[in-house]
Amino acid sequence: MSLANLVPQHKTEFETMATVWLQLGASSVELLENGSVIASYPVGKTDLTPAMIANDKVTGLELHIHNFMRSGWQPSADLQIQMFGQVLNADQEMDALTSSLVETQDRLVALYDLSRATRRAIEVDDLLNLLTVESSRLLDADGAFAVVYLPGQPPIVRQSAANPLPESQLLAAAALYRLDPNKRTFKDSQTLPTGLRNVVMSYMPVRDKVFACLGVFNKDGNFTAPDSKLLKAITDQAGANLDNALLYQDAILRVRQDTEMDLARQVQTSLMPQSLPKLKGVDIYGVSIPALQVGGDFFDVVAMPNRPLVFLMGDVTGKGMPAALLMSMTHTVARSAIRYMPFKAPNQILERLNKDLLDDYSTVGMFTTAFVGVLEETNQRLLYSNAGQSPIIFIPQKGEPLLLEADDIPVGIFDGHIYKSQTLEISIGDVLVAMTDGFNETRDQTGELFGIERLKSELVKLVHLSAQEIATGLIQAVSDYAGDHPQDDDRTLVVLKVTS
Amino acid sequence: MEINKKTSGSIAILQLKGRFDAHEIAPVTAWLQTQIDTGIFHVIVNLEGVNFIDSTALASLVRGLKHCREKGGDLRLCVLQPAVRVIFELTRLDKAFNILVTEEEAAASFGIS
Repeated sequence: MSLANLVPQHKTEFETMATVWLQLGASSVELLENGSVIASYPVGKTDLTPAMIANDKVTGLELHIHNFMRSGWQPSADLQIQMFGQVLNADQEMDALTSSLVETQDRLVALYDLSRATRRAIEVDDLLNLLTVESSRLLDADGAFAVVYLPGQPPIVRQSAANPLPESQLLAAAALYRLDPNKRTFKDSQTLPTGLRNVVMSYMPVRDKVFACLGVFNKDGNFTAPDSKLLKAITDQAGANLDNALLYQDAILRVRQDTEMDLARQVQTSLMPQSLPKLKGVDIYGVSIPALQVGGDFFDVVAMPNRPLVFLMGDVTGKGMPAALLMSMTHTVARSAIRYMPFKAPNQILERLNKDLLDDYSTVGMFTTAFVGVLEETNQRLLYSNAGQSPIIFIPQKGEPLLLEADDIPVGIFDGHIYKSQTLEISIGDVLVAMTDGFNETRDQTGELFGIERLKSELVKLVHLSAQEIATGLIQAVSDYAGDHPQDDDRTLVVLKVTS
Repeated sequence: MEINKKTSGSIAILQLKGRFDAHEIAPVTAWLQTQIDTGIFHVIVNLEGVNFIDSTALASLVRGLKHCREKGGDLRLCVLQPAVRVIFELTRLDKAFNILVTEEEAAASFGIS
């Protein structure tokens, strides 16, 4: 304690004390601290004459009363200096407490401002940036960083510093802290990653499975206990804000996904044929039941005057918007080719599709399976071309059902691929069902697939019904099989039955 | 899905194990791209441990196949489990890919050291 600059009040008190001694006969009185004179009365008078000395060991203060000859006054002098020392001490402590209080008040205000600002920050990034900037400022340190560990993702690291450190060091510090979150201040410099002279850390309480922490580093001197407490106050509050920001992020993502799914579904369903042609001697029916996340299925039936009946179906790889968009392009090109291209056999349709769409499919790294069927006007022969589409099942009125295997690779893979057409003799009562794999790949509660054999046996039971009844019956059978298991792929089918 | 990468001379080999579907293609696509970027066009994908494959996964293999062939190389497959082989046969992709019985055969089939 240095009283070298005694406040005026203390000076007056000393002078009052000294006056009494002078009145008792002393020539001068001096007040010393640790051997040096800090005040004298009369002012400025340095005296070398012998003196009665009273001292206070606690404060190191000494009273020198010069030219005082009377005896019996030592105890008074001792008491006086002790009391004076206590007063000075008390005053000093009071000062220290006052400035500490002021500092605390300042911090409280800063904390309040910070909490208002963080409440406004709903994006995770904004929030973390705000926290790092403000906490390094409030703790009067070089920089601060925040690390958030989210399950299944690389950790998020944000930093704000006059001299930024490599992220790897910050991650290392966060990892160390995460092992023992009770150890808030790292004192042992050997355990600290390079670049960090000192650091104080605190975690932000957020939801389960997420660990988030804030660290302030490189302060001149060292971090104090109040610094640590302040940081804890900041992080306690910030935890709630971060939780909100994460929830917000999740909500936005979900809305985006739902919107995409909705849009994709709209795109896909709008392209399905709205009505089916009614033809003499042929009963044809087609329907598509999209899954929640559409899977790129398409089908069409084209009947034109003096032209054979053409039907097609296909399945673009992938799900959601990309599949829906490619599907719509494919469907358009296919329909256009069927209507306006002079062709004799269905393989030519597939070659056209392949030629027109190869670039687009290659760019996105996708392909489509496709089946094109052409029913000759006699209604007795079906020409078809199958590019990887399965299952296509032929159920003769009498006889075993047959899986028409694909002869060619899907469309959109190899440039200039030559497709083949095949023929199938059909009689009255025979049924052809072209399906996408959403049917046989349906799983029940135990995870078992519906499978192609089951499809065959179901269709045998339904073969005598109309095309629409067959379709409905099969869809029902598959749906019953699945039970509560949600539909994870589109189910599309075209049923062709020759009636005369 | 487990992924194991190795090289044998100038042939890059990817060994997959488990369910190969739309959720698992990212690392495979990335690895295939890396091979092309670093000038390796002879690639083997070992599907011995794969018990299920969907169309998106097939599409990623097709893409790799095309890239390799464009550069004068090839992407060959080896060891298909029955369930997976069926998928290849149904889509006729068994005709598009060179499928061999063992990894050694696949490597030897390239005819390079």
